[in-house]
Amino acid sequence: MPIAGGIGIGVVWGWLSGGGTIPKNPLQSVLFTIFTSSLLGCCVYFYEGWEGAAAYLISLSIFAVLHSLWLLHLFRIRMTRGRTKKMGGKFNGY
Amino acid sequence: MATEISTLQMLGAIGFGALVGWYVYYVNRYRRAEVQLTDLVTLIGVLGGGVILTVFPESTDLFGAYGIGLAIGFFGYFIALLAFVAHSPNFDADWFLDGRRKKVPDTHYIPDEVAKTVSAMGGNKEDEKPQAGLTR
Repeated sequence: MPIAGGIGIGVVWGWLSGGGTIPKNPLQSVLFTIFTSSLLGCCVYFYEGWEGAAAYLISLSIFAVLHSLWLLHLFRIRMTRGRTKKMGGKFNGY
Repeated sequence: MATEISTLQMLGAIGFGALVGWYVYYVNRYRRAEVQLTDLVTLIGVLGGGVILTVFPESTDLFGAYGIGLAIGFFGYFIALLAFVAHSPNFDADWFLDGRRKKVPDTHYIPDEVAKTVSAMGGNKEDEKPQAGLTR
């Protein structure tokens, strides 16, 4: 279980970074994400070496993207619902 | 130097991680203001900071067990939220986007001391109006 710590921390921080924890200002968001992710990456590297740090980065990226995609999915559901209301509200797939 | 790790220690590390993960989601959900540097330092400290590094010796499986527990606790909270929203007639998926929900009927009320959240991840200011798009 040498890389599990990196994965665990990566998925949590990835989910938080990808879903709205970061500030709204775009530049601030990027800097914030890079800074915090690097800091945590250093912690993981100290504990688990390169393998752990790589696992951390991969899981961080995957879960940040996953959270963003999930929010986009919810947004798409809302938009679909709005469109179908205009069409008479016959669509009830959601 | 290899250190012998017992099953009880592993379970303890997983449980500790789960508790911290659950609390990380909870704290972030009820956070009211924009992210400050102090919040950041706290969160980083919780996830991989000095206390954790002291409790779990370097290069042992305990740190891995802590990481697994952290993810279990964090996503356990999230799954619990998903289940509550799915079963409640007062909430739907929109709550995850901007916190909108049904109005409380006249026969019910929410006491003032109940903690308020704006959205699932709590990124909005309280006085901010819900927008039609992706708001955080």
